Amino acid sequence: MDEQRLSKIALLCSLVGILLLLLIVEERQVSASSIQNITNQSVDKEVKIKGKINTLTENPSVTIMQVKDASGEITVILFQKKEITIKKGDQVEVQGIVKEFEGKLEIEAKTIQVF
Amino acid sequence: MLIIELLLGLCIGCLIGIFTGITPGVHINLVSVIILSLSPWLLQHVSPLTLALVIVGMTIVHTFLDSIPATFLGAPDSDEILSVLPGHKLLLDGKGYEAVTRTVIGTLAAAIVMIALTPVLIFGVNVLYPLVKEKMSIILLVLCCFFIWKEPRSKLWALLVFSLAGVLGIVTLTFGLKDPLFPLFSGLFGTAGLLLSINDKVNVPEQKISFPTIEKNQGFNAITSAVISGSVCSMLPGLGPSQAAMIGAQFTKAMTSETFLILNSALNMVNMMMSFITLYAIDKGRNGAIVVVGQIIGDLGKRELLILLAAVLIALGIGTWLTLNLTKIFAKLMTKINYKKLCIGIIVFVTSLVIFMTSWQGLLIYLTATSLGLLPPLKNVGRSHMMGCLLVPIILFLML
Repeated sequence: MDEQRLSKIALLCSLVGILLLLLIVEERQVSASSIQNITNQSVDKEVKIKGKINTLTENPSVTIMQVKDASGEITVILFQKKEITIKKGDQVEVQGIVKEFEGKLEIEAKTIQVF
Repeated sequence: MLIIELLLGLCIGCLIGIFTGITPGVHINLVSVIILSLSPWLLQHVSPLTLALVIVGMTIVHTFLDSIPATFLGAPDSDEILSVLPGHKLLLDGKGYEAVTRTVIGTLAAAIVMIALTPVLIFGVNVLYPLVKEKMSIILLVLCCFFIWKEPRSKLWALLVFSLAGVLGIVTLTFGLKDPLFPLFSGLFGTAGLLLSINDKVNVPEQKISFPTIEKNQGFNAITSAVISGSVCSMLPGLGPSQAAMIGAQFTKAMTSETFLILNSALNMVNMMMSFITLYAIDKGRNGAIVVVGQIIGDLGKRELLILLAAVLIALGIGTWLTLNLTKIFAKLMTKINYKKLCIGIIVFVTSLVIFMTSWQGLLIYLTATSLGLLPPLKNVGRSHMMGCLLVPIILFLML
């Protein structure tokens, strides 16, 4: 092995990494939808919504909130491991999996971003 | 565009990695904790994955680059040639570039092997960890005895250093500090070594820029030993690359200084990669920086793991290129650096950080740890025995 070959292997690693990242991120992109479009067909699927926090209940292990947009309202559950700073009235973007709990649809949040 | 944001985060991480990698005494765990403390504000502007990739970029580039100061700085006088580390031995032969290149090959090869083996390793951790968990305290106790027994110079001093570090570890962890490990590790492994280096009058010869010749068998054996021993050790808390190197060296026949450099650097990368795998499989990162990645991302699913591995691949290329080129600059500048002033500057910087972050209690731990850290090089025993500072509290916690 010489320096040129080592550099080529390194370059190949980076290119494969970029390609892999492109593929995964493209697949990961979920376009934002309005709350009224979340139906029983959306259960176990990943969705992204944008809206305002209407109510907020915080417990040590779980945060429950009602997020409202122009089309409707939905419950968002966050099983948090890290501290997040959100409050009632914040505009947020929530990405997560739709679940059914006691006959109602809710989103189990993966990420919550405050605007 | 998320992809641009992610790549930008990774590049920023790589830039921070250059700083932490070539500055002795500045550890990635410290920077990761600072990023974590800023995360509530940062997450309002970027996604958790972007922030995680900053740490991944920094971690990988740091793992490559920290072999530069380890090789070019802190070499003892040539009269002490028997206790010289493998990298310093080559430096004193004018082969500093060759030494660093060996570590680059070890790091890169180990990372590629670990990424390829990720599905197998996840399965292995899931199967083995429940078995290991039950007998963890006994396994750790036996391994501690093994490390002390394998000390080639003074077993008694090795035992004493291990025990004193253990007591200091218990006191530190019960002190109620926010970041107790920072003053402890900075003292034991950072400042103590720098203090000793201040008095060294080193005449580093002119450095040749030549690529090393590595026998395929030796390279293969070193990487295989690193992957096996590093993977097993990563399942046990408190065991780092130094302990895995002692185990790995048992399986590598006729270990030369050159092979040891490959083994040691490969183990650092195996340790890092196994942290991602244990974080995914058993929700336990074995490395401070990776623990922070887990805290920022939250639930590490398959997609998140794949994104982290893709980021590692990108950073591998950047790390290799940076290390090869920065080493050439270091090799030329080496004779012009005022090493004494550099050491003093770093000691002042780290001490100020300790006071700023952990107050007088931290300073007390830092000073005690620095004094203890002077013992191994002065008594000619391995510094890795100071890992008793973590191993003793962990064993007691598991037993009691």
